[in-house]
Amino acid sequence: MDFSRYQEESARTVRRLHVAYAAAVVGVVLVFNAIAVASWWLLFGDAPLPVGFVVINTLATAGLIVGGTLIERNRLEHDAGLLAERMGARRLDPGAAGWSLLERRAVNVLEEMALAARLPIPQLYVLRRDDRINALATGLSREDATVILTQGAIDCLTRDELQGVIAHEMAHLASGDVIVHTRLAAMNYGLELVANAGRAVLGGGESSSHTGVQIPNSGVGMPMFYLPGMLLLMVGSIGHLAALLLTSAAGRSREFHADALAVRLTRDPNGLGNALRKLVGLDRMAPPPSRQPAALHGLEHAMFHRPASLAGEWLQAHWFDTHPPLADRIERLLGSAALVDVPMLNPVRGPADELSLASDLERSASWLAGSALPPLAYTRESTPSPDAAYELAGLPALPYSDLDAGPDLNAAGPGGAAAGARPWSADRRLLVSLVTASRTANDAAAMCALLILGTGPEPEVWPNRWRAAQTHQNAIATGLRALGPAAIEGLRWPLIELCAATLKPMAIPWREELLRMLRGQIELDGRVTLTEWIYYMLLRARVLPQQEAVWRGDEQAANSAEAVRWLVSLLARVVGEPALRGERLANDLVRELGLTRTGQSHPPHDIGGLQAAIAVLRSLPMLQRPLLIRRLVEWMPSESPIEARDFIRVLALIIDSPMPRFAPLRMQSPDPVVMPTELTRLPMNDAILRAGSIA
Amino acid sequence: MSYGLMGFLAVLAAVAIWAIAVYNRLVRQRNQVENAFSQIDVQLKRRHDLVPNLVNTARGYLQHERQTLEAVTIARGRASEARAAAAAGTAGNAVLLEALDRAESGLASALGKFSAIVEAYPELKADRTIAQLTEELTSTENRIGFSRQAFNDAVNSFNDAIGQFPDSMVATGCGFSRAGHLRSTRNDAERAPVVVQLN
Repeated sequence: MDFSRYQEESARTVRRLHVAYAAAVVGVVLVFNAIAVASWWLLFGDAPLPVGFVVINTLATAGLIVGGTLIERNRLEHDAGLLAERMGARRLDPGAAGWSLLERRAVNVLEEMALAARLPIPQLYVLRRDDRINALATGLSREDATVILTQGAIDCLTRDELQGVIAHEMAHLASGDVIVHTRLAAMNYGLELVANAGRAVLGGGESSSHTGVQIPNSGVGMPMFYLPGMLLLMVGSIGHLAALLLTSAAGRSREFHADALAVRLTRDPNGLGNALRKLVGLDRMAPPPSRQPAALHGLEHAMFHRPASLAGEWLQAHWFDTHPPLADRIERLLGSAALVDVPMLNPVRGPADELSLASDLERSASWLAGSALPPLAYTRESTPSPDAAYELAGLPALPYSDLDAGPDLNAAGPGGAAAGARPWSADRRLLVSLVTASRTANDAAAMCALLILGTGPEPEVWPNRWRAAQTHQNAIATGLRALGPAAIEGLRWPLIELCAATLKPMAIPWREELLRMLRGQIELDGRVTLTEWIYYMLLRARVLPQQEAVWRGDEQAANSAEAVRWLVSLLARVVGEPALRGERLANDLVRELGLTRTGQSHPPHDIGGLQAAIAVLRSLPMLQRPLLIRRLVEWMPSESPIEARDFIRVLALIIDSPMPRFAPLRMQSPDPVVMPTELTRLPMNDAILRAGSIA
Repeated sequence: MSYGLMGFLAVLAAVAIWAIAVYNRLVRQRNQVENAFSQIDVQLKRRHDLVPNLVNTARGYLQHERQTLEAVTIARGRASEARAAAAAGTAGNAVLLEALDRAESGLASALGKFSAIVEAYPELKADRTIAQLTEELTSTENRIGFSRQAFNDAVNSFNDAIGQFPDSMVATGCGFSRAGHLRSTRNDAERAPVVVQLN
């Protein structure tokens, strides 16, 4: 395909941008001088301007803008991969093994589109933590390019849709649009630098996003910073306006061009069109978060789709928006009929259509089997029975008959004779039926309750409106018991994760109600065990969005030292380490994290203390949290119980730090039957936290 | 030296420069065609390498479908031979391309039947290896399709370039010949228009 026409056009756009940028810089400098001279007159009346007043103002403003632009341009054009990594994206290395099927598919689709466009294959990066559908192409040239996909795009799009999205990005690469995008981002950064500086001086506490420099909010309420701050902000808003004009000067027809080129590459408008329709459906269903990962700031115009709320005020959304409305793009691809019934999509991170439900169930079950400690017997060489086919097809009626047949399974379970004599199919069937149960919201809720509260023989009394969730509770409880207590220990976390995936798309009030109800159940007996707390917090973190906590300066450092000490002493008690060893770790941690040493107080190990400690730790600076978690992991004795590990994991989750990796658990014996229970069980009575609200 | 002679020489030089430029452009385009063809070749090899894996993994499940598996294996053998022959000949040689095309469409239809069978066996579909192989197969088929598309695009612009006056004079003078397209439909039944029945 011949891209030269488009390349010439984007080269023209770049030239036009440079001219517009020069004009914008001159304009901002002029306005700044006008304001400076006017305020001089206001302040000092007729006194003559100092020597070089105008020259210095001019040089300072122009230097700031142009310098900012050059630095940003250097950052963006230095290395496309580096930029992706700063965004927190991970590279999918074609040579590496151990990808999921969906990732493999994404890489394949990218290579296919590179073939179609006769371009070298770009590097592929994935933004793991982003569930929304989006994509971005960056790069210096056609040869050194990077495509970034969100996890949501990989998981929620079918193969054809993904092909359309990637073809769109390849079209941007092939037609040279990426150069326009990076230049524009750099220019806008320079122009908005003054406004950002003004905001920082005024004490907005705005960190200058991607450079990672945190400007302390020292100026809050100090009148001496007020005037310069306002002045900078005023001048800066001129720069902001100039940046908006610049963006609109770059034009938004490039998106249409890229769509058209993508269709020429794939010879099929439906893939891209349906991906866009999915976006419309998602936008209608859940408003996207208003915040963007910091590193993405400034590159919004380069993304596949710009979420509506990012577009800001009306003026910006309609006049200066970088992307044409989705509806226009869809209409041009599929005709206006496609807009009538935009599908309300289920954003469940689910199997794409060509991956069958059956294989998905099977995969989840085998994953579960592998996560148990010790891994459960799980083999594939089965004698195919008619039942198995139904079971694998995911028919909801049958699996419960397996669960109901719990007692005989129980006899063959770990309590039975030898572990080797245990029929493998029991585990497999159980796991498959548990996975099936985790697919429906009511059963998932019941399963979470069982996992958090324990699988005691007597069913909990739930409030009336939760009756529906209890229909299968007994069956699920029997099934869980049949797995055996040792297996449950290891499976709690993965099972709750599976359930949470089902619960997450439910309405927010429903989820809140569920959590409230679970909390009520936990606190019913007037005490909270650590187990209950860990898995409740896991479910909560997975199901409800978390609020950001901000680091609030010095008085917090004292608190956090105390929180770290408290946490370490709790952990030492849980894993049964001598208190002295814990004390040493706590001292090291406080020193390493740069927290202020304070007098040692020993608040009791209760739920209130835990909540307070977590609240303080959540406001630790971003980079210190992983350090804290890593130290805790390293310190943990290798034969510590699973729950202690899960405790650290859930801690990492709550304070928003990367999940730690543990060395494999050292078993005293691989045989699940003789494994002493106290090794895998927390000293429960010890770890009982006094009653209180979990909040 | 007279002005007339100088003028004549200048025109001659201009024509020579033009001819060289055209020649170089045509060579570049011909190389692009060859490169696009070798891309197809790479993808065909990928397909051929995938087939034995697929057949071996599926054999355990598909005791009753031996015919299909054998058909796939035989079609692969034929396609491999045709690929070797086409790779030995010059790029765009129409006769060899024809043969290769026929062998490959045989293999493609055998694989299509195989995919249909996989759909009917839930146990087989649930197999992780098969799922991976199926994904690779889908991707390979797409790659072959897209590299053919890219090849045809390249052939198109090459044929345009050597056919258009005045460049065609240089092309015929230097022995450039038209390259053949790859077609995906082989027989009349495939080209027949689709009939939709509405009752």
